[in-house]
Amino acid sequence: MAATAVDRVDTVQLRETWETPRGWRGTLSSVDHKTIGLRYLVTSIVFLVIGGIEALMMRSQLAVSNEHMLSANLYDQMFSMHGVTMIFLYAAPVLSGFSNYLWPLMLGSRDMAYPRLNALSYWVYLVAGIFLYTSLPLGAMPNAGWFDYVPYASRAYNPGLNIDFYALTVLLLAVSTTVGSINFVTTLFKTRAPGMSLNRLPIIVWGTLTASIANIFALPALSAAAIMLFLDRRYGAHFFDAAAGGHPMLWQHLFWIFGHPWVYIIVLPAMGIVSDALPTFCRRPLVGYTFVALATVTTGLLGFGVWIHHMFATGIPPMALAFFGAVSIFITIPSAVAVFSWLATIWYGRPWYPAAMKFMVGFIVLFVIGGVSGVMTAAVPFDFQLTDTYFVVAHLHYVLVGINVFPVLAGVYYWFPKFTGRLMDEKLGTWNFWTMFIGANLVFFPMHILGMLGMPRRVYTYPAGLGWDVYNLIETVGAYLFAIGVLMFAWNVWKSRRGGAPAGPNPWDAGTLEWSMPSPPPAYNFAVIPTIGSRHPLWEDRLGEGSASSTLARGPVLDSGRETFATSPLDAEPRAVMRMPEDSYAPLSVAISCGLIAYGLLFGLLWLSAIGVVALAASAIAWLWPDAATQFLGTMNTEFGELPVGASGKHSVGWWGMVGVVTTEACFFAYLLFSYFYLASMSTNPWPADAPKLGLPIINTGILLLSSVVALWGTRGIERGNTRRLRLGIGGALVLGILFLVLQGVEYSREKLSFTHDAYGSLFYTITGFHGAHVFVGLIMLAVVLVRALRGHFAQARYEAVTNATLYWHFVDAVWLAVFTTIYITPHLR
Amino acid sequence: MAHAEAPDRLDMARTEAGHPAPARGNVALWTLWFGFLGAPLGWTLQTLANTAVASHGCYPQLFPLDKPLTGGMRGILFVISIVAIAAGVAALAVSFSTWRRTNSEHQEKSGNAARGHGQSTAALETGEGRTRFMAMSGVLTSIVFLVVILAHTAAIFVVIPCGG
Repeated sequence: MAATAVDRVDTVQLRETWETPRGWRGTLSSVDHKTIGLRYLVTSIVFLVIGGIEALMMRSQLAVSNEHMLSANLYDQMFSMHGVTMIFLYAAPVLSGFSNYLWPLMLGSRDMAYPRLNALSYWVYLVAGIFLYTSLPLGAMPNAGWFDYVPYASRAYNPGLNIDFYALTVLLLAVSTTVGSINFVTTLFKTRAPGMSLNRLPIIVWGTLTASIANIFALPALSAAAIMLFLDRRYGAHFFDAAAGGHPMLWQHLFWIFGHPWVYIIVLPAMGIVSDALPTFCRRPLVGYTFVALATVTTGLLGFGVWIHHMFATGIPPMALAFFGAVSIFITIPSAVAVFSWLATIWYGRPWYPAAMKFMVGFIVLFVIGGVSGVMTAAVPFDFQLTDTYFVVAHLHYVLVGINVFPVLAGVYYWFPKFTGRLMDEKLGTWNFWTMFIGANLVFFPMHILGMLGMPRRVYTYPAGLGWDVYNLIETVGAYLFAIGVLMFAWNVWKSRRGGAPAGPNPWDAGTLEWSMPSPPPAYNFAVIPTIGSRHPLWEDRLGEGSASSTLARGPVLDSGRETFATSPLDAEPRAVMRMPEDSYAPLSVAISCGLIAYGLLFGLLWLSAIGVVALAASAIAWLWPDAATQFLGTMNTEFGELPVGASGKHSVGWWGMVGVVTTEACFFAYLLFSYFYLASMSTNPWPADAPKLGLPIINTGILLLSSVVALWGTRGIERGNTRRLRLGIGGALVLGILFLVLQGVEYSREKLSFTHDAYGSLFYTITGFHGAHVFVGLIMLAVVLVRALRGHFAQARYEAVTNATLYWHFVDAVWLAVFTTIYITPHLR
Repeated sequence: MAHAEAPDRLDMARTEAGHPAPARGNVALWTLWFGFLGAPLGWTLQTLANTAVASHGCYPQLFPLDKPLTGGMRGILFVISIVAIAAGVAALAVSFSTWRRTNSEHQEKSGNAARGHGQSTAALETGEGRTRFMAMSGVLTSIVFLVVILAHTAAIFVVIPCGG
């Protein structure tokens, strides 16, 4: 297949191949990344407005002293819902919206690596949002803050459904975010245009990549914590119950091990928006690209080592605090690198200031103020004085409003022409900016002073005469001004979408790839797959840089189906032609099933959860039914040589997704085992009272290890084309796995330990139970592979599903070794 | 659309000169990854291990102590830190070595060099040359994490371990 000039491409065929049908069927089944991206943006901004209304209710209450418009109970629910809504339902999803829409356009691909997972990520997010707000009419909204500390969140002190809503919402969102993150990581490493090497990525891609990897490692901590909390509250476990060997501090550790990386997860892609858009308005490349890319990654890495700065006042010994204080101060280095880079870009460029640029400059100002107060609270003695005061509220709002909301609005003003084909109103945009900028500073700056004056966080009212009244009134005025700014923005979006000036493909004269196509982009994104030669494909003529010039007007069409290149991870060399899946209702169906399971658990209706599980299984079968996207379809001659089409082992994306799953699941078990050792170290009683017997578990360990060996033997067989050996190997592993579960059941029946007796019992059954569940999932995978092997689906160099299933099976076995050592061996060593 | 008129550029992209990483054969891939991840891994070890030792040493169960559980706690923390420092220094050395061997990769067409102002800032401006980019990433990351590791190590000697 020779390269085709873009004006000779049969775009009708491409459009028919890629376009989602109109009407409700298309609406519910679309997997187009642009549609999903816009849905994320709109939904998250709706949640921003809802969270803003909650904030206005709180600010109205606090405007004057002794106000009782909201009761203490309702105020608790308001600040909790405000936090949960803004942090979980707005700040992260809005950035997913940008990245979903923009990544394939920036990277030169026709879609994300897993279009259906992309749809699933959105639908589960929507279900989680609806689920959470079901608590509103029931009068049972979460009421223990977005951090949900125990013991206040435990059943003894909080007996309603409030906290159960929180725990289950968090678990639903974890599903959404995890699959989305695995999708981003695989898309980055596997579906870029030829020539789009790692060093040519836009910074927003670095930001979202870093955030996604952080999600894979950090989110399981929150999932583990939420599961333990739910088990404590509803099934009598004792993870956080100090009277039975648990400990409330365990919650704080797990929550902030997740929580602080999360802070960077919701700002790094936003900083990327600025790093990519600001150079356009300075008419020059970003100063220090390499530094900024590295600053992004370094911030994400260091973000994992600062969680205890949220716990400075909890009694942890001073030296341990000092370790985290040091990192919390030094994490400003990469942030400062980015700030100086933006300032230098403005300084050396020829800046102009449309609304998008105004929001970016405003962001830099707010970022610096929020950063400085962050360094102040990184100093342990200073934090001791101000912890739980309004100073901390000021800091976190400067950070989150400054580094998330302002870049998001800048991003909307910047990419709105690409989304819709129309420009937003600049005059209204200027009013919009100044209203929000002044409003933000009016509402949040006086909070620093109030914190210094000793006003605590989360009080629902306060007496007169403490010197707080004036500052609170100013803040409330600022909050309403900020809200007016948000309304201006909404009005601008509404009116510009209908009557804005036509934008054309590149209204800002920008240099990155997404501006090379019509606005809005066609369903197939690129008529020909581009070849990239520099970081600014559209500015190459004026910059004269890049080792090879980009080719945008001529290239492979790839129109035999929904096709795009799978490329090598570092240099984006084409390795295969991927066949992408068609539109499907399955992601929506899976999401609804997850919702049914959650509602069943919430109300104790196990039959409802059972219906959800059955629906989930049916949806998964429909989803995974073998089609062109899962099969090897032969080879194709392209400009880049003869490439496999369809499933192609490690060259295509399935293996990468399985590595992502295994990694995040391994982290989940690591956090469970951390919980075990943490509680064991804190226990003043013998841990456990009776050490578990070793006989049966040792036999079971041997059985599981043998199953891995047998599975490996089968895989080696198919590598040499021996299908009989594959069937024997997978069948043998299947039998041994079933035997493991049976013996695990026998052990449970003999075990005298009780799940509800103490923390050890809760840990024993939770950890081994979750492992057993993973074995069960692995057995299903092996069974599917065995059936396909019996039907002759695999041959030499064509066994991707075998590789993926056995990778999962080996992971399950490796986890068992850690579980066995921890649960069964360590009690005998004490 | 840039370079719509250029019929030969797709061919050029397939040549070695047009490859984003012509110097990739000069260094082993694992050296690039070790240079990038060595110091962060050392820091991770230091943070997790030392936090556990320092916390448990002063707060072994439900009640805090005025003095560490064992007299040699600072020594343990320091030995762990030495391992982290060694990992950081090794990563810095390896990444500096890889950078030396790749730092001219594609620099003649990068940043200021593209505008005839020499190559001094080219490496940082556009990040051309994937191998060099990864090598430089290793150098920068190793330096940042070594600073953090050293600050952590200093705390072992200047901060009281327990009480407060």
